[in-house]
Parts: sequence; C-alpha cells; structure tokens
Amino acid sequence: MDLFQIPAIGAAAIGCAMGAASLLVPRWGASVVRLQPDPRWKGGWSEFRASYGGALFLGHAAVLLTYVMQAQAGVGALMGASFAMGAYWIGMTIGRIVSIITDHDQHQTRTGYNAASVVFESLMGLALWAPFLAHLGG
Amino acid sequence: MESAAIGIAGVFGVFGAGLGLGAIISPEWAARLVRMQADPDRPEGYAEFRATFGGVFLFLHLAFLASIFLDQGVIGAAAILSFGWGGAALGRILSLALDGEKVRTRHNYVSIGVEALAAIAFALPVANFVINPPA
Repeated sequence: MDLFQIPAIGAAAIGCAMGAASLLVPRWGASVVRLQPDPRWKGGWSEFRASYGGALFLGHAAVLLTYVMQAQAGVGALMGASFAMGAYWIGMTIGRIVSIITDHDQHQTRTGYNAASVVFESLMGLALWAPFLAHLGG
Repeated sequence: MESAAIGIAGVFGVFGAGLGLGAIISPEWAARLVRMQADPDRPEGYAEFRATFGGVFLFLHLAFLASIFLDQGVIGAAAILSFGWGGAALGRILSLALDGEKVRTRHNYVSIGVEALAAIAFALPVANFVINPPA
C-alpha cells in the first residue's frame, strides 16, 4: 500500500461508520448536527437517514471500493474518488466558516462546536486528499 | 458512448453544484428545501445549512466537473457521486419504511425520484468503463 493512501483509507472508514450510524439511528445524526425537522412541513426527519446517513455511508464506501478494486480500476480511480470525497469535507469546512462569519448575529454560530467541526472536517478533507497531494508533489 | 455518458453526468454535476451554491448564498432557502431547522436549544446547528447543504454539494460537484475538464480521475469521482446520491435515496426509502406517517410525504417521494435519477446519471461513466474497459 502507498503510504499516502493510509490516511485516505482511515478517513473513509470513519466517514463510513458515521454514515452507517445515522442511517440506522437517525436520532444520533440529529443530535450530532443540531438540527430538527421544521414543524411547518412534514417529512424533514428523512434527511437524517438520507443526507447524513446513506449519502455519507455509501460515498465513503465508494472510496474503500476503489481502493479494494484498484488493480482493476487503476490508481487514478482511487485518486479521483478520494479527491471528490475530500472536496466533500473541505466544502463543508468552507460553508461552516462562511456561516460562522455571516450568521452569528442572528443564529449564534460562533461556538466551540462549530470551531471543533471546522478542525475535524479540515482533517478529514486533507486525509482524503493525501493521495492527490502526494501525486502533485511527485 | 463515453463522451455521452460523461456529458449526461456533467449536466447533473452542474445541477448539484447549483443546489450547493444556492444553499451557501441562502441558507433559509436550503432549510425550506430540506424541511429542517436548527435545534432551538442549540442554535449553532444553523451553520449546517451552509456547510452540508451548501459547501458539500458545491465543492463535491465542482470536484467532479474539474475531473472532467482535467480528464483525471473521472471514473472515481463519478462513482462517489453515484454512491452518494444513491445512498441518499436508500436512506430516504429506509426512512419511509421505518419512520411512520410523518415522513410519507410527496416531498420525500419526489426526492427519491430525483436522487435515484442523479445516481443513475453519475453511474453511466462508471458502467461504460466497466463494459468497455480501456485497452
């Protein structure tokens, strides 16, 4: 195994576990992200099993699958998959930073929880980008 | 065949990036779209609308579009998006089966249709790669 694939595989396994947990126990997902269904419309509860559950679980599972199948799919497929999933986490970080800066007056977003989330998401993103960054570095 | 598959997936890539851009610019719009609100006891959850529904959608789909333009890792990125959208549909179907009447709404049935369609579109380049592997 390429040394730079290790952090990407580890982060993918963590993402998989988080997604599986929200898919099976949506109340856990809701407590982590501090959201709840809007009582004005029915149906919002499904999002905890959908966006925070199935999407997170299978997205990271696809990274693990490209790793397992890299003999058939090629190293490029693993790099593309982990780069895309890294963009998922880095995009989340950027969105949260925008919210911390712009939404605090109305929604009290400048908290330890959001600061810690930025650190965690950045680490996940960089770990998943490790094979791509190593490739850029030659 | 290959370029048609990538072209169809690219259209959905632009659609997904557009959804993300909309949520980053207007988190209120995203909150209405997903029928959620921040927990009143923990209002910092509001950041999730710009983070998960904004940044994630925008940058994940931009990564796929970048892979097309750079012609690097298209199959891997398409697999991620296909699995991601498919996983969302799967989670929503599980919710319809397990979470009772409160989630059996037209919004969720339409969402399953859109998510399944996106999953199929992003699966096209992967399926083409499997059926017609490069020499």
